Amino acid sequence: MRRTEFVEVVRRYYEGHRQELYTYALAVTRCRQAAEDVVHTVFCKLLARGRPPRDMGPYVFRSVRNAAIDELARRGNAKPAESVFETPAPKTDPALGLWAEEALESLGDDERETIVLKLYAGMTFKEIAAARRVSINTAASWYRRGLEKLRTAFEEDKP
Amino acid sequence: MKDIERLLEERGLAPPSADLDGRMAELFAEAQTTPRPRVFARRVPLWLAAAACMLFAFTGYWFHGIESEPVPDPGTRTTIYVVHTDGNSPQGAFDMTADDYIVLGQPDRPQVRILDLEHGTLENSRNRSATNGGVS
Repeated sequence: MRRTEFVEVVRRYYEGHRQELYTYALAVTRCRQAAEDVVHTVFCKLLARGRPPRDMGPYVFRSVRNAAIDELARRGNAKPAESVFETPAPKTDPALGLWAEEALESLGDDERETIVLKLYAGMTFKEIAAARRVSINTAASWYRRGLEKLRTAFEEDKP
Repeated sequence: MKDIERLLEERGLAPPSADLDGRMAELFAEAQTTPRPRVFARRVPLWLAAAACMLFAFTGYWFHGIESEPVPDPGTRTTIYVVHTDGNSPQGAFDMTADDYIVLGQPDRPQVRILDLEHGTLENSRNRSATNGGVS
């Protein structure tokens, strides 16, 4: 594959998944500036490879996670943590919107990241498992457990 | 579960800023003009690579040559005396108790064993008197 073709492939992938990649980076770093830096760093390294990975999706999301963890270690936890959701919530009930924000933040890292990848990145459990290097069952159980916690919290604190 | 999923999906996501889009556009534009990265960061002259190969080959041969010199085994030496008998030699005629003899002036005390070809036995000289075999 020639250099120009490779760059074009990467550029199209970024444009097609820009929101999902940024949301995932934000879910890990909890800081918008850090999330943008992470996405930029990941694509710098991807272009430096010179050739596309065998499986672009899981590779890129895995790289985003690794870079986000490194960035988090470098910067420390953002205070206050910034949400993956836009503020204010324009479409849904503001109280519900706020609840969703807080509820997602209360989950464990694995559960929150899996929900973000499944609901917002549109990944299948197989793709999530490949990105996180775990079994499909593990990814599915993280997702299911996260949703159960959200449901329980929703039932208890129904706004 | 579906209601929770729908609730979360309806919640809008925070978009990346225009600054990120600008940075990415610059990155891709620069990448188009940057040549493909080489496997080796530096060029190594052929003569230098050949010289390095010869140096490693010579060093390896030299070390290997030293290690392959035979090292004498300092363990117990065994001397085997092959005795041909016709069955008529008196018992005790060939008493070669190793503890009492220093063979050929060697400082080590070799263990003496007696091979009797006729009877097909190989005995230590110390045990010779205890057994009925050996030199006869």
